[in-house]
Amino acid sequence: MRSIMRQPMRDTIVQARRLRKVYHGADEVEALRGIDLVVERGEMVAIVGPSGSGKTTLLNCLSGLDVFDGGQVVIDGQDLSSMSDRARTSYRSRNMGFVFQAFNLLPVLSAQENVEIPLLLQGVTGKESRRRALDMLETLGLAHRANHRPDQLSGGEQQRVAVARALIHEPAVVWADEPTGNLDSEVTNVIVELLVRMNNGGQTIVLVTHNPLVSDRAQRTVRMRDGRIETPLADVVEGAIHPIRQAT
Amino acid sequence: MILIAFFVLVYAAIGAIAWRRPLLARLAVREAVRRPWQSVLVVAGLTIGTSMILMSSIMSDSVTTSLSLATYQSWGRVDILVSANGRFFSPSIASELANSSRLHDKLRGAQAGVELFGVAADLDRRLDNPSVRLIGFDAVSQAPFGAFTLADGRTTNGLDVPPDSVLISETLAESLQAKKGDAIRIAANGFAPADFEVFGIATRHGPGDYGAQPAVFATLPAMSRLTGTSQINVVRLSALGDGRQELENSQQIAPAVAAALSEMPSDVHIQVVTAKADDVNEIEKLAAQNAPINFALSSIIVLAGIALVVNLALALAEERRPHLAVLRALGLTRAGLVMTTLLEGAVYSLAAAAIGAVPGLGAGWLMVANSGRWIPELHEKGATILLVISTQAILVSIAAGALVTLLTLLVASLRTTRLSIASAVRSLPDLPGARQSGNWVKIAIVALGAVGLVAAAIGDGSVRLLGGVGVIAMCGLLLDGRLPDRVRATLVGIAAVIWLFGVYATLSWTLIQSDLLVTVGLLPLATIALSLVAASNIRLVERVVPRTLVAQLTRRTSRLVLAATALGLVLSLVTFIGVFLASTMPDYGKDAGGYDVSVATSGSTSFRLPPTLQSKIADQLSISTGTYFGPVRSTLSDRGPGPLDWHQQAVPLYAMTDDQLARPKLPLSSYDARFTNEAAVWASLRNEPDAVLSGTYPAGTVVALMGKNGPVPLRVIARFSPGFLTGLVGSSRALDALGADYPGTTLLLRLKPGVDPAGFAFDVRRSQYPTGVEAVTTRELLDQGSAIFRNYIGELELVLIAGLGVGVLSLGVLALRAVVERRRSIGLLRAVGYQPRQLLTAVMGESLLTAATGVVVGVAVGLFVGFAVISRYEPGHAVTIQLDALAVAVALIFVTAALVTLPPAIAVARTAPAEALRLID
Repeated sequence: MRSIMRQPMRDTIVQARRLRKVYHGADEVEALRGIDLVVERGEMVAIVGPSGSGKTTLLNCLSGLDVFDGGQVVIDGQDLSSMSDRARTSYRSRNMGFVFQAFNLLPVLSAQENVEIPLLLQGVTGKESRRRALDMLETLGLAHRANHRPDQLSGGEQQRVAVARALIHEPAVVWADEPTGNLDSEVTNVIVELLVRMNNGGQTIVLVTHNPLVSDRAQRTVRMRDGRIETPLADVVEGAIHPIRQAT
Repeated sequence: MILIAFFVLVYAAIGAIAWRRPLLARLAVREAVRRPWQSVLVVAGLTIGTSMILMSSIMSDSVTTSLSLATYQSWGRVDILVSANGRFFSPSIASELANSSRLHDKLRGAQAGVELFGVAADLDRRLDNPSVRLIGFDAVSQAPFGAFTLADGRTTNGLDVPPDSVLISETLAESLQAKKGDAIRIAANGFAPADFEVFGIATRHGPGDYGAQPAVFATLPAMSRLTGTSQINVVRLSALGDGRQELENSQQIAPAVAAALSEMPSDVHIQVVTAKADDVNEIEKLAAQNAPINFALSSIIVLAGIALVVNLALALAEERRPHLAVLRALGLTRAGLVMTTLLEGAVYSLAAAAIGAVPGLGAGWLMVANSGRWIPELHEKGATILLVISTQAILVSIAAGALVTLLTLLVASLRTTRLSIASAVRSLPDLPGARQSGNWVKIAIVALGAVGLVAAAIGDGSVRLLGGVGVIAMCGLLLDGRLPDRVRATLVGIAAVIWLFGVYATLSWTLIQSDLLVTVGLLPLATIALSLVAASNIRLVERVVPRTLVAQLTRRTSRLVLAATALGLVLSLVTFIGVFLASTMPDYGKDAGGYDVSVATSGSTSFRLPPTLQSKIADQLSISTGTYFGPVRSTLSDRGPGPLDWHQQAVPLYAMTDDQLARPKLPLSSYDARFTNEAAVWASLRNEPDAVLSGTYPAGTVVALMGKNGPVPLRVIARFSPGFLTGLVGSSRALDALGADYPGTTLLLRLKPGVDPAGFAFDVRRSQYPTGVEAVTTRELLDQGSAIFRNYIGELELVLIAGLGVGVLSLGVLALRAVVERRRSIGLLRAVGYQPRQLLTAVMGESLLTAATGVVVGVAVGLFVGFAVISRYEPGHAVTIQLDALAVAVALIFVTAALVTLPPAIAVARTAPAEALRLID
């Protein structure tokens, strides 16, 4: 593993400043304790850390799936913290793609129909959506499974469909939460190669993982512990503390 | 029509959404067809709304149409009656009215007539009828009123009927088995009998249906043989026009008739009554009074159905939570999720509404077919019961059923789509604080609480009940986070129950009768409140049952509340009706005051029984009896909650002597609240000139009858059990103002031990033939009196069965949901070592525990309402609970619940752990 000091940012796509998230309950838990993070366009960043360190919470807050209690998140120049739920939802549909650990395909829809969802939500016509979804499945080697429902697909195929769904509308950022968590090592490799291939094509990807096979393929690894990013070395870019790159 | 238009608009909007948002439409349809059997159950549960609404609508339309038509037919072309309260006057009044310049071109016809009550006996068939209307008509002026159509096909205006012959109505012919040419002996009450020949049997077409009762139609010369006078006691007038126009015309010319009469010399006070219009209006009003009762009872079942729908919606949403979260993550707004739910709901509700129309039609047909048993007006009017099923009623019920379901799903979806995406997408529960209300929500809660406070403070009846519950609910919401949920829910539930029961206990009977929403609102609100208390504390069972097995039930309060509410609502109705029925069942010994037989003669003040019968009598009470027939108005109806305006009615009158009042021997069943004991009631009856008793009207009713000098209001201060001495009982002084005659006698007989009352009554009738004596056992009278209500309740069994079906169905559906929804947790339990039989027991136990909660809640609410209603309906009357019938109902619920739960429970027990633990659906 080698460390590379980060160059001054040329094209920031994700920027978090002093991000705080508190879970209110019988006991308050501060899940994020003032996170500062920058992700450049075209980067593939892996967030790693032990269970309970706040990885998924950070991903949820950055992607607008969850609200936060303090700080700021700016995605591609848009401040999520100032957006209403409706605006955030609309922003997600246009600019973000998601891959989840449990695949989370809709069981009532076929593979192709699952992939079409983001396009249809954006108002793309049914015909165009179908064409693009088929193209995407073909790219991922799943054209022959287009009309199969999720329960007729293997785990790896389901996750590839999920990746296709995340990429179909060419989002600014793809967020992946333990994308290989339910897969064996062979299929994990397939998915990782797929993500890397997409990243090489310029797709920004931020993923949470426990799996070194995955994190090792990321351009940068962000290590978290107790709601903080461990920053043995950091530089300051545009006022934000930037964690050290840990590229393999 | 507005409802149908709204329905079309809503579904058009939903169609437009489906067109514009194909993804949402696709998801909705795919979800609906994904599990066909589940969808079939959902649709079955949702049919209840339409079927109940349609049944209620068919009932209302059919009864109203039947009664209205029968009323029109019973008056024929007669619109206005001119009479002197039964007294006789000159027949020239009729011809003068016909020729009056004031009424020129306004009358179809004017006819002199006589109307009396009397007795008829067929001397050839040896059968008599003691209650016959004797209708005298001037044959010369009959033409404008229509010709009689006889059973043998002839028609007559009466001109060809000899003075020694009469026409008889079909109903009288049936009761006497009379034929054309039979010898018939007729006696008008208070007059000597005379013999006639049956000229023909008048069918119910045209004037032959006049009065809609067993009747003799006699020309004036024939009538004079009965009355001994050529004078008349009524003039019948017919206004121009047909149908409603004819009624309006009659009301318009009535003042002119009165003015014309005032110019005519007469020694009696003659009154003008727009009899047909009054009767039609009141009968329609009376029919309309039944509609809200049917609707209210149906609404309770619909509410139970709504609880089932909400429970289903929550269960479906729970299962689909991760999928909903993914859609939200991918950019579907919450409104979009609501829309998806609505689209799916639209498929279910439309299918359910259309299918629900079929059982609705069947239930409506059954109710209408038997309506003659519990709507006395249908019997009194001799109405042909028509089954009226209009396209509009079907469309309205489908529209209403679908919209109710859709609205319920919409409200439920507002709750189910409120999820934390991050948690839901990983099938994790929402984190604490994720559903905290915003400030605007809190402001809305406070505002609604304030509205509730105002309603509770200044509202009346249902508004007050609802307002108070609103305040309590708002307080509960504001305490969110300040108290543990269990404590909060328990406090809110108990406070609501105390408020509801406390306020209801203070409401007057008049208010409860007139504001049906009070009871219709109380039942569901109290059921929900008690269900909330029970569900919040159901965790107590975890002390005796392994937590892992019952946690799905004990930790999901909202589901248990809904399931218990659905069942509890129906059971509260069953319990309430059971208590009411048991408490109002006749107590033959007490309610009849020990009298065994009632003997009534309409034409003789003194008649003697043969010595053989007389020797069997231990004691007797003789009361002078007459029949008032004319305009009646009452502040409370004898058959419904509302007042009744002037309408024609026969009212039996019983005049008691001072001696009888001083030593009362009649059994009162209830009396006005101002009296402390029966002695005070009798004292009041002796001293107050307007006080009467009644076996028909409830205590507190003011009944006005037309007396010699205008309306005579009489106050009912106490009542007998229904059926015993129907009509009005008063002192001679009180009834004098009516100017009525009392040509008959009612004998109440207490028989010697060992004498069979039914056999004795038969012997009396046979011994008195052909004078037309009516002898019946008091047991029969009391049974007849309570039959109307009991028959009505009998018909409601259909509604209650439908309701119980909803309740039990909800248990079955939830058990079925358990198989689908808890696959993983079931797999886990199997994996860690739970035996299949333990899981089977757990699912069965859940269902039975839910049923038990519903049963306890329903019985508690039903008992309270039963006690509260009986204590007002029959003050001082003992409240009776039919424990055996209740036990049977409860046992049936448990058995049915077990049966519908068993198949899903077996499926749960057979679940393979590895299969269930798979992550994918």
